[in-house]
Amino acid sequence: MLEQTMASESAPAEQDALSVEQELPTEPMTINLGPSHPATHGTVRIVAELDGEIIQKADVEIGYLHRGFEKSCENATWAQVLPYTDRLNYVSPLLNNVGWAMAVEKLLGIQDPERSQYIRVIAGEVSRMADHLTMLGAMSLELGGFAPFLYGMEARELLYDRITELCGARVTTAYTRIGGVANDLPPGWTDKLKGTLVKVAELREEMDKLLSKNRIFIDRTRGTGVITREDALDFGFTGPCLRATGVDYDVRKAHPYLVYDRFDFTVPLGTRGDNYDRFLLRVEELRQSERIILQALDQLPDGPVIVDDWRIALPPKAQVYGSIEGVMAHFKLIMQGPQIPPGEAYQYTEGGNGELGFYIVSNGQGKPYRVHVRAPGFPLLSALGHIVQGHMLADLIPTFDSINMIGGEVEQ
Amino acid sequence: MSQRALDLFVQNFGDAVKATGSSHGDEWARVDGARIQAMASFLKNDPALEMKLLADLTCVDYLEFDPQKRLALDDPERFEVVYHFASVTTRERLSLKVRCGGAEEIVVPSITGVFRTANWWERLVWDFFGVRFEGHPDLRRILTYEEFKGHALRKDYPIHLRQPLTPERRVQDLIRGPGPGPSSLHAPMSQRPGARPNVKADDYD
Repeated sequence: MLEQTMASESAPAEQDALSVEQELPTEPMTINLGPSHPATHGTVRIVAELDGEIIQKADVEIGYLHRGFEKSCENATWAQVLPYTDRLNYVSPLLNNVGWAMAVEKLLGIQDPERSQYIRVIAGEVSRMADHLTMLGAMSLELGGFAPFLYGMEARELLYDRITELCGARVTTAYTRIGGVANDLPPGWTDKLKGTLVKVAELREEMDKLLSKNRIFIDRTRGTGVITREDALDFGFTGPCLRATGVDYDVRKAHPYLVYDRFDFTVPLGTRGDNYDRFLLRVEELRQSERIILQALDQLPDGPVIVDDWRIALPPKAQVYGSIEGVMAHFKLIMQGPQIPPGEAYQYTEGGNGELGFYIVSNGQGKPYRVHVRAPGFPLLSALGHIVQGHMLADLIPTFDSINMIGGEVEQ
Repeated sequence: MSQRALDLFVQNFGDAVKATGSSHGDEWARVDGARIQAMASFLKNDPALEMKLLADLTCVDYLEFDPQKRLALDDPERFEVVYHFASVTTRERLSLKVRCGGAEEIVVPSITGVFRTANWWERLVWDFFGVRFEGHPDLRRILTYEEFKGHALRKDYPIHLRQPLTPERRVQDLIRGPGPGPSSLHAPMSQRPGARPNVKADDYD
């Protein structure tokens, strides 16, 4: 009897609540994320229109980190551009260095010595690992997991230590040169790197264990930030974000450059194209990078690390101080830079987040006439609004993490 | 490398193709801009090409390309918009180039309707070169701000020109921007023409 009365009393109350909700005027709320929100790695502003917790429309505004990279390049010599490229993707600068050097070499029609190619592969893959570890750590941190972030950072710093020994700086590397690399590997470096890789592998597995079977992490990432295969291609996705949707496209395999065709490695693919797939895919890519580095270290040939052409590469110091030709070549290269014949080239390599392209035009006047950088993060970020539309605001954060946009390259 | 793709393309759009070539192993075709939408759609949807990826879209200002002969500011072929298409299945690549320019507003049809990634690339080109893409849903500046005057990657945009939104503090002898300073070599950078006190953005454009 009592139960019946309670049931009959609660029914009208529910109806009242419904009708009140229908009568209340509601309007979408607009909130700003950024430009300096801690969860937006760089400085991106996202203007989100919310209906409750659902994002109806997200407008991504960029440009807060714009510093005129392309205009700067047009006013510097071909060699002077190289340090600027460090600042593009500042998490994996060596990959940018390699991309730039290869673009100029394409225009020159030369190829760097075999040993230099191997060193570029090794340095590039170390950089890629640092890039992925940073992304994995940052993603974990922003979803509330502090410990995996520390593991990731520790592993990254171990790799940065090796990079420091290689070129004297953590991130402002400027290591490659047109026609080769700046210097040979330091003595004992390869053994140190092998030791580092073992430690990095331990930390990577630790991170993987902590996250990929973690209920909270899975709930936050599985099924969020989904993009279909067709949409991903339509939005110009490349790299891990495209492969997470199942498209087998990796520049290292599709258009092998340097000596990538000599290594045995697989390109991991995802199936669902969500945040979790993008996360797992990067963990697997860390393993593949390690495989590539170990094979490259085994195969590493002896020989010069830069072309022996004084019109392109600096002569050895003994020649500079001991011969008039050496002094002249050194002076000409420093003051005027290498002379690149007229023409244009689009060189693409696999960067940390996808296809890193340099479109360069030369008119033979000693400076790049036009430099355009195809930043892999640019198309990825342009799709962010599309990915999060109709989903919860909280899903924006892991999505923003997993596409791993880097302000330095996207905003040039 | 992608000669097959170029041949197929020329077969279908022969009358709109002005020149073709291959530079450093990459095939390109210079085409009539008016039909770029149909071309992009063909490249994307043709079963033999399947160029579903618009890898890159950019622009070049050829104003000072020939140091002996500077083009006129309103030269009809001053700008070249470059599209890089790629196929993830056949691994082929093809570049299309569209020349544009003129005294009036420079207009090229937008391909945002075909490739959604073109949305931001076209905004980037509009921002830095002032090429207007007809039919673009939301053609705003992307990296610079609304109040910015002129288009910074045009060759006639002075490299040392600054357009701050708030007044900048005056710093003596601070070299801003890359490249050698203007001709008066011994003057401090801040006093060289076009360098420091030049914050009157209205003078340009």
